[in-house]
Amino acid sequence: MTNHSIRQALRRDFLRHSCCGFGSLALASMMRDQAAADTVSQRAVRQYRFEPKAKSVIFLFMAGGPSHLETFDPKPLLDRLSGQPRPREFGEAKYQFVTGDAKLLGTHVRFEKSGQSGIEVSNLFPNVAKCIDDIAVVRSCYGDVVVHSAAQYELFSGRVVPGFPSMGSWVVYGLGSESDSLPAYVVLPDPDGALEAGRPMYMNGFLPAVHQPLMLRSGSRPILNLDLPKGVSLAERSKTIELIRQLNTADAASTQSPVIDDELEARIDSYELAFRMQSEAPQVFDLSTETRETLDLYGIGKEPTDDYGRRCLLARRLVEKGVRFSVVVSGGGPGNKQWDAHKDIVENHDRMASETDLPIAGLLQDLKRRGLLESTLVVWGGEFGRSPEAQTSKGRDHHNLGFTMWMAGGGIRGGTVVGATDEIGLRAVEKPFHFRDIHTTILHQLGIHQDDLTYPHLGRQERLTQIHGKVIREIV
Amino acid sequence: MREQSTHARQALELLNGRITNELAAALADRLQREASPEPADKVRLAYRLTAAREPSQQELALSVQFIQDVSLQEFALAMFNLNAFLYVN
Repeated sequence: MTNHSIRQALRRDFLRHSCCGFGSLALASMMRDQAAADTVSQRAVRQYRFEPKAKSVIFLFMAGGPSHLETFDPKPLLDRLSGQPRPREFGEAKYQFVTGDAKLLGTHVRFEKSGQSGIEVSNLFPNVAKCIDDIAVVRSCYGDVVVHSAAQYELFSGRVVPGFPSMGSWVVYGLGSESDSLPAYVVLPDPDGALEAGRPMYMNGFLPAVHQPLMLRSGSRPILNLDLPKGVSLAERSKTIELIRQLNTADAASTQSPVIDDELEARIDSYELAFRMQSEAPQVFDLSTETRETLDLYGIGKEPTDDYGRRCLLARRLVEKGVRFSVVVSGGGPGNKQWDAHKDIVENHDRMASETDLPIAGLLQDLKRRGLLESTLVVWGGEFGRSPEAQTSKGRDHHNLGFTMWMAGGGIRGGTVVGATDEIGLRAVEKPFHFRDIHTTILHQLGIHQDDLTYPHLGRQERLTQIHGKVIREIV
Repeated sequence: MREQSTHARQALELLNGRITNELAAALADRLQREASPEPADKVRLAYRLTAAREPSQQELALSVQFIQDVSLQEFALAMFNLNAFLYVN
């Protein structure tokens, strides 16, 4: 029996008991405790195949496609050939907008050897550069598509279409939560708006509904309705929630269906979680308890780093509370408010980097000095990179054939570089790694083998990785 | 694929939001006016209005006990959080 059906069987037994002579407090409270335990400790992965290094993941999602050429992949030849057509020996590439007669576009950045490892980082990231000895740079990433939505689905779920569970949902399905008062998977979106793939890229797909993310609101009130209405005490409201659970469960048990719809089950459970969140969440969101020095470290209270800084700090606090998977999104709404620099790569990336460089470095340093970096896997990247060729003279188009992602913490070997693109940054030529390899590596750091985290769907035991991925051995 | 919103936020809205609490007050008021002083009658009317059915013995017992322990207002709020009210089968 899979763990999923074991859980259903336990619940059925409790419901059968509850139908005959419910009313005893002991049974009621035992059922509540058991139900809570089911939610909290439920995990599909019962045995680690690898020694887990990471307990939590923070994904710093640079939405829209950050250019590897302006950030972590220096290409001096590209700068020398700026203005010329792409030499034929580099082969062909397919783009959304860039046409065959486009010219190569050099960069405006300088790459500096950084840290003790001497890895070159662009001067758009002076603060992240100082943390490079904790970072493993993967310069040979590639994906299958150049369209935002499809690429975002592939980045999150390993498939180019929506409807499949995101890596966050797989991870919390596999490992459950360390917190019983906060959801295990949280997304912190950019206030500038939604992305092309929309919410489906973050969602649970066919996994049980309880594994969907909590989408925070941007701005000063990440969750609404945390306060009780006037005239009700916490003790009274606790009883109300108990009544709601009892009535909904009694109702569900009375239907003839042998298995409760997982959606209904998640909703029944959500009240208890909501109640606990009322006490827990306000503390987590209250950044005034942090020192001025910490706020400054993240760039909070200053522009342009205040918003991303707040959300990075929030991610650290969520990790401290046991949240398993957080996504801190940089970029939202119109393309130019993302990293999607079709028109002007200089203006766009100067701005996007200035919003994120200090907060990201702050997060890495803060995790490290609190002893959290070892157990927190931080991942940086987007759904693709950008084209070496110019789009309408000053911009860069989407580019999936070779780009950069990086990882830090969670047992990752810092101060390393793996993989390479060709001399103009067109194609990953040395040790190419697909998103599935990034996923496999994330699972590996959490102690999970990709084959041990499966769910039956339409006759297939589905995994996060549609095709087997490999662990990026060089960085673990 | 059907878009789903996140459950914890929905539960918070349904428990603490202005609209549901105003509705609960209105329902509690109506139960006072239209049902007999017997808590069981209030419960039966509440179920008829929100779930379009009679309560089971178990639901009746739980609800009557609750009204005596806590309040009619909170009971009314619970009615608006029934799956039977919120969802169509």
